[in-house]
Amino acid sequence: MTREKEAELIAKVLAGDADSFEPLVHEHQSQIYNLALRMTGNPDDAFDISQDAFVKAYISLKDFRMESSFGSWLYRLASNQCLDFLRKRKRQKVVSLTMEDEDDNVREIDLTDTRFAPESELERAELRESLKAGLEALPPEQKRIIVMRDISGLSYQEMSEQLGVGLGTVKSRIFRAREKLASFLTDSGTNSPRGASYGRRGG
Amino acid sequence: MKCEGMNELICMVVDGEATPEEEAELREHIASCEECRALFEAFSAFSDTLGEMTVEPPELLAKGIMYKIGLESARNRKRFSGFGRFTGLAAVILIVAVIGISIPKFVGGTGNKSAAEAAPAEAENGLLMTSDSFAEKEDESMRSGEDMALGSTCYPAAAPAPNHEYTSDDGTYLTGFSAVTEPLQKVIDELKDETDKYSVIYLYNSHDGTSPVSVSKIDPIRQENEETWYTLMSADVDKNDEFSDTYYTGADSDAVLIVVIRE
Repeated sequence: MTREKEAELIAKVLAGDADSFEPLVHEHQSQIYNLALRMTGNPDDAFDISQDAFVKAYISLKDFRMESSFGSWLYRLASNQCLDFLRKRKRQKVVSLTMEDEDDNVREIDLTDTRFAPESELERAELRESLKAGLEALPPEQKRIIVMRDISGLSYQEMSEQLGVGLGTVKSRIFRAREKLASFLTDSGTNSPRGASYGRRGG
Repeated sequence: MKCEGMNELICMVVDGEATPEEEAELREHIASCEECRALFEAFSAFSDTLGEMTVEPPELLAKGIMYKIGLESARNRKRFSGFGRFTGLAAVILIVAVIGISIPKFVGGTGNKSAAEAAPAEAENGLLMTSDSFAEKEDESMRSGEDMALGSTCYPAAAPAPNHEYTSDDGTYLTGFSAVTEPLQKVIDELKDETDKYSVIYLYNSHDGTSPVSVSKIDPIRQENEETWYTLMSADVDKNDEFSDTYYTGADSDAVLIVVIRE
């Protein structure tokens, strides 16, 4: 969808034509849903969060300044909602109090809460499963970094804009998140694709 | 073995963000560095595998969204056609103010003038925001039309408008929803002498700037990690789902969400 088309639809919505929002939904629902799915780890919550994100975007559309694309504005809104959801969930569920700390040992994380286990229809490759579990084990911020890059396919530049940090910070955060994910896979006994250990020197 | 700088380079190559020269540099390095090669291969596998894990959204999603938007649209029209909607309810006022003060300051009761300017609701000593401190604020100018104030504050005005960022004169970093600050003052003025039911402040200290501020379960004073919760009066915002909502800060700011409930 071109920016012109997008602007035209938004103008119509703001003028009271709610139906003009629908093409925007169709354009962006896949990205938002996949973001929410990988952030929450389950389809029901992903559905709810995606729905809420679009409804919120609709409600706040008047605040959208067209400085970024609608898609990136919506994405930011949705990814923030995902983070909020994860934090609330952490408070409500006995998962692990150690998840917040980057230096905590991921092995301490209790993944016995099956509701938040990765959905079963995708249980195929061991790596897939391990990655899902690993994502679940990551602190919300690190999870978001991975999802932004590897699920949503955002460029470093786009991530920099989404997160409001510089490119250097984006790079180091991506590395740390992946390293943490790798350490989870190693600790949980997953064989790497080539049998390597993912351990890394400090720093 | 010189692995310095390789961490990021590994990611850049995996992510297609490296120049050909940078990629060549990495290839040369991992030819002789087992550790970096293992990381590169692992990260590549992660990226490839995760990239294949996208799914089609459920068909009902778009329908559900448009249905809800239809409801919102209708509700919006109704809201602007009159303000009777709130009179039959336990009036709930949800106010958001996002201010750039640090939690330790706030908890410690250290005054912060910039914060005070940005969000008049907070008292000079942050945590001392009780019904008393509300009551002490005198302003007769905002007295008209309580229902109007409720209506205009509860919903559209409180919708998040991310990325409104300011730097105050003394350099304190502020992020806020400018659209909210004024109604906030208005409602506080409206209610200052007639309520003893002010409810809760939720503080969220966000360091990365993209963290949400949230209304959630109300607990007694509690502090953990970056979050501080503070209860002024007992109430449970979650019971008022219609107004329990989530608001977001823009970049690099600490945040404070103030919720006032009048029963």
